[in-house]
Amino acid sequence: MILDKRYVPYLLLAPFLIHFLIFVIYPLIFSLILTLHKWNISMPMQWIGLKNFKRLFSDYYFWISIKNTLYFLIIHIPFQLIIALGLALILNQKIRFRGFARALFFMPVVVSGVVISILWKELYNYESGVLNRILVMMDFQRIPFLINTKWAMPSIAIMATWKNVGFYLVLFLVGLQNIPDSLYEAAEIDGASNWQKFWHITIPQLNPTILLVVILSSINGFSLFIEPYIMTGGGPLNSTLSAMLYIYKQAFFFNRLGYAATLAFSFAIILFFIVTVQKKIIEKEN
Amino acid sequence: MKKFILYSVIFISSIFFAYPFIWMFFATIKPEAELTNIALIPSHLSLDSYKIVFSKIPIMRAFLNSLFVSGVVTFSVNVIGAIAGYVLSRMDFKGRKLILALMLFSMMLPFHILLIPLYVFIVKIRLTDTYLALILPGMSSIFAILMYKQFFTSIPQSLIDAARIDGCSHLRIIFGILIPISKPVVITVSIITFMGIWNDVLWPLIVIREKTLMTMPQMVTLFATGGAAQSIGPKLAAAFLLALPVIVVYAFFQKYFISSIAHTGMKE
Amino acid sequence: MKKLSIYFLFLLFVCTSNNKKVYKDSLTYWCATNPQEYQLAKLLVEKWNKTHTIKVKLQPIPAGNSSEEVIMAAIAGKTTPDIYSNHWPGMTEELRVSGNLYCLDSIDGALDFLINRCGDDIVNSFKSKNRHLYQVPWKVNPIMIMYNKDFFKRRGVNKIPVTYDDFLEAAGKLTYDEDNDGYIDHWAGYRDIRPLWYQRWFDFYAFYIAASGGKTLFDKNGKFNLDDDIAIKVFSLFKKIYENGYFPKTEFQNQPFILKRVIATDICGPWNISTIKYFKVEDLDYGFFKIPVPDTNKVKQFYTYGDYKNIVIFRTCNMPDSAWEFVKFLITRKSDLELLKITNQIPVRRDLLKDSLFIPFFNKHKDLIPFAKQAILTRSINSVPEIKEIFDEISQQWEACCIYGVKSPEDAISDLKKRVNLILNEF
Repeated sequence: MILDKRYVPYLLLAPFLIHFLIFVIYPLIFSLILTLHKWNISMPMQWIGLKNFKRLFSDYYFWISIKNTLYFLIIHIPFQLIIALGLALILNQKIRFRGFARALFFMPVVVSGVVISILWKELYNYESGVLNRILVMMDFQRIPFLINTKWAMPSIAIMATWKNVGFYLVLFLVGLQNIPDSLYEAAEIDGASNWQKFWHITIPQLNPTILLVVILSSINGFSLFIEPYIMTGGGPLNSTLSAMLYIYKQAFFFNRLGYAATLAFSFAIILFFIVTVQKKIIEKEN
Repeated sequence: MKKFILYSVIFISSIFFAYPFIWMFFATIKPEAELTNIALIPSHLSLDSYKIVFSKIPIMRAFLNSLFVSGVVTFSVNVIGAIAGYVLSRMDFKGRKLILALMLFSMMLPFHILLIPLYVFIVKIRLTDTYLALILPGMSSIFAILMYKQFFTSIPQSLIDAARIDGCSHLRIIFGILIPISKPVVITVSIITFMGIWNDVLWPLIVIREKTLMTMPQMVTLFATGGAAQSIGPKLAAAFLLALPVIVVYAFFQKYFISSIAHTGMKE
Repeated sequence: MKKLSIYFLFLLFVCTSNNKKVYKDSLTYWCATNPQEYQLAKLLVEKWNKTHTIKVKLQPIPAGNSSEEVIMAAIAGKTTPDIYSNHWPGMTEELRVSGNLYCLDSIDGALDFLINRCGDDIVNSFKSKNRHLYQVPWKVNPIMIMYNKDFFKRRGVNKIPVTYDDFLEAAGKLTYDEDNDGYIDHWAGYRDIRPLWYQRWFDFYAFYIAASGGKTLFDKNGKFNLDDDIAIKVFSLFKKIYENGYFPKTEFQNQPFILKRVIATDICGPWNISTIKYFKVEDLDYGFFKIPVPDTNKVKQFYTYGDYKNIVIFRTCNMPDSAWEFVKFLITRKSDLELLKITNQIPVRRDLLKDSLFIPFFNKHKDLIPFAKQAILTRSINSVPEIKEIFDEISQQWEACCIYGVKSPEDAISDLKKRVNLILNEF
C-alpha cells in the first residue's frame, strides 16, 4: 500500500527529490560529460576526449580571466573586510541615526546589479562622469576609470565593495553582538588597551564571520558577470574579462558548449581550491 | 571627541552611499544637455528620458513578468522547502544521510557549472521562451529546506504527537500548525528567494529571447547595452524604474530584510 | 491550502501554453522587425496572396539578442519558417552543414535566374564549399565613407582622399580644438572602439577588402588565407590615426553625431541617409567617397565590405518549389523597386543604374547612386562556423595595436594568425 508508513517520507520528499535530480544532479553529470565533447547545439555532439582540456592550457584568455579574477579578489576582499568591519564597529555603538545609517548602507545590496552597473558606468565616465568632474573642479587630473587597463578592474572592485558592504556589515553586526560582554570586562580588569581588546578578543571571536565574508566574496568574484558585461564588455584589452563572462562568451557567442563546460568545471575547481586555502589560513589565525 | 569622529564617519559614509542614488534620480528628470552637470537640480523638469523608455521597451510588461515569476517561485520554494524540511527534521528513513550530504555538497557548487546543461535541457524539452523556463529551475531551494529543517527541529515533538493522535495528515500538520508559528522563517525564505529571483539576469538572458517574456532586469540590461537608448538619460531612467519597486518594498520592510540576512548569518 | 495548490497548478498549466501554431497549406515567411522592412514585406505578401492559391503567412522574426540566436533557437525548437529574409551570410555554413538549408541550385532555372539578377561574380562568392548555392543575395549595404562637405571646405580639404597618405593628410587638417580649451573637440572620424567582433567589419574588414581588390579572409577552397602585407598596412593606418588622435577614443553616447558636426567623416552604409532624414537634419551637406586604398596602382577594382541580408529556404519547408516561386517574387524588378522606395536599401542587382525602371527613383535619390554603383563590388563575411571567434580575435588585436598602441602591426597580425590557427585546428 503506497500510504504505508515506510513510504511516507519518500512520498513527501518526492517534489524536492525530483527537482533535485532533474535540476542539480542531472546537469552536474551532463556538465562533466559535456567537457569531453564538442557541441554547438544544432549539430550532434562530437566526442573529442580530453582535447578541451588540452586547449584550455594553451588558451591565453583562460589564464587572463583567472588573473583578472584574482586581481579583483585581492582588491575587493581586504577592502570589504576593512570597511564592513569598520562600519559595523561604529554602528555597534549607541549613537543616534544608526538604524537609518544601517538601512542606507544596506540598500545597494537589494538593488539589482544591473542598476548599480548602469549607474556607476555613468559616474565613472571619463569625459562627463560626475567623479571626474569633481576631480577636475579640485584641480586634479581625470582618471580613466573604465578605459585604462590598470584602472578598469579596480574600479569594478570598488563598485562591488560599495554594493555588498551593507550585507557583510550586517553579518559583522550580528557577530559583534554575539560576543559576550564578560570577555571585554575581564580584559578591562586585566588592564588591556582598546587596541589589545580589539585584536585579541574581537577579531578571534569574529573568526567565523570573517571566514564567511571571505568565502562569499570569493564566490562573488568568480560569479562576476553583469558588472563587466554592462560596464566594459570585458575590456579594455580584456582586463575585465571575468571567469563567468568568458564562459558566457564561449557558450553563447561562439556556441562552443563543450569548451564552455570545460571552463566552468575548471573555474569551479580553482574556486574550491582557493576557498579551502582561505579556510585553512583563517582558521589557523584563531 | 570620540562621538564627533563617529558621527563624521557616519555622515561621510552616508553621503557615499546615498549620493549615487540621488544623482541617478535627478539625472533621469534632467533635460539631455544638463545631464553631465554637477548641479543636482535641473533648470527645468524634463520627463523625456522616461518617455523614451516607455516608448521603446515594454517595461511594464517586464515588470509584471518579474512579479509573476518571482511570486510563483517564492511560493513554490516555501511549499517544497517546508515539506522537505519537515521530513528531514522529523523522520528517519533509509538514505536520509545521503540526501543531506548531497544537499550540502550541491550548495558548494558554483552555479555556472550547471548553467550550460540547464540551458541545453530547457532547449531540448522546448521550453525556451516560456515562463516555465524561468520558474522551474528555481522552484526548490536547498537553502530554504535547510532553514525550515533547522527551525522545525526546535519545535517540541509533543506538539506534533498531539496532532498525529488527532488524526492529522502530515501535510495538515505542516501547513496547518507548523507554518503559522514559523513566521520568521517564512519571511526570511520569502524575502531572500524573491529578491534573488527578481534580480537574476543571467538566466533570463540565456533562456528568454521573446520581448514579451523578458524579466525587468533583463529588459533594462538589453536596453542599456544595445543601441536602442540613444543616450544616457533613458538608460538611467530605465535603471531607476528597475530599482524603484525594490526600493519601495525595502523602505517598508527594511527591518525584515536586515533581520533575515542576520538570521542566515547566524545559521551559517 | 488545497485551494491555493489547485490555483497554483492552474497557473502552471497556463504558463505552458505556447503560441506556436503551424499552418499546413501555406508558407511561413519571416522578415526583419524594423518598421520599413516589415512594411515592405506586408506589401509584397499582400500582392502575392491576391494572385496565388498558396498563401504566405508573414511574421516578423521573434525578438532576441540577435537574429542568429533566434534562428538557432527556432531550429532547436523545430519552429523554423519556410522562407527567411533576414539571413546573415556568416551563418550559412553552419546551417548548411547541419542540414537546415535548402539547396537552391537543385531547383530548375534557379541559378540562372540569380545570375541574371546579381551577376556571376556575386553568385559565386556566395556559393558554399561544396560548390552549391544555399542563399539568395537579396540586399546589401555597401560600406563607404560619408563626409561633411562644409567641414572639409572649412578646413581646407579640397580633394577627396583616395590613398592612405591622402587620408592621413586630410585627417590632420580635420582634427582640431575649436574652443581652445586644450582638448580636441573636432575629429576626422569616429569608430566604435569596443572590441566587439562585428565592429571590425566597418574598419578593418572594409579597408582590407578595398586594399586587396576584393579578397576576403578565406580563399575559394575554404582555407584561411590572410594577406599579411595588406593586413599590416590597414592596421598601421589605424594605429597612426589613433596615435595622432584623428579619431577619438571614447565611446560616444549620442550617435550618429556626424550630425552634430564634431566629426568630419563616418564609415557607414546608406542607412545614415535615412537617419539624417529621421532626425530632420536639413542643412547637412554630405557626400560619399570610396574607401581609400594604400596604392591606387595596385588595385584594379574598388571593392568594399557589403553588409548583406540574404534569403534562404529552410529544409523543413514541405513545398520548396512554391517557396522558390515566392522567393523569385520577392526579387523581381518591381519588388526590388519597392525595396528601394520603402527601405532605401540597395537590392543586389547588377544593372541597377542602367535599368529604365529604376532611373526615375535614382533621379529623385541622387545620394543613393554611389551605393548603387558599389552594390555588386562588395564582399561579404566568409561563412565559416568560427567566423565570430575569428573576428573577435581581430578585434582584440585591433584594440591592442591600433587603439592602445601596445603592439606593432606585425606582431598583431602574427598573433592573430596563431590564434586563428588554434581556433580552426586545435579543435
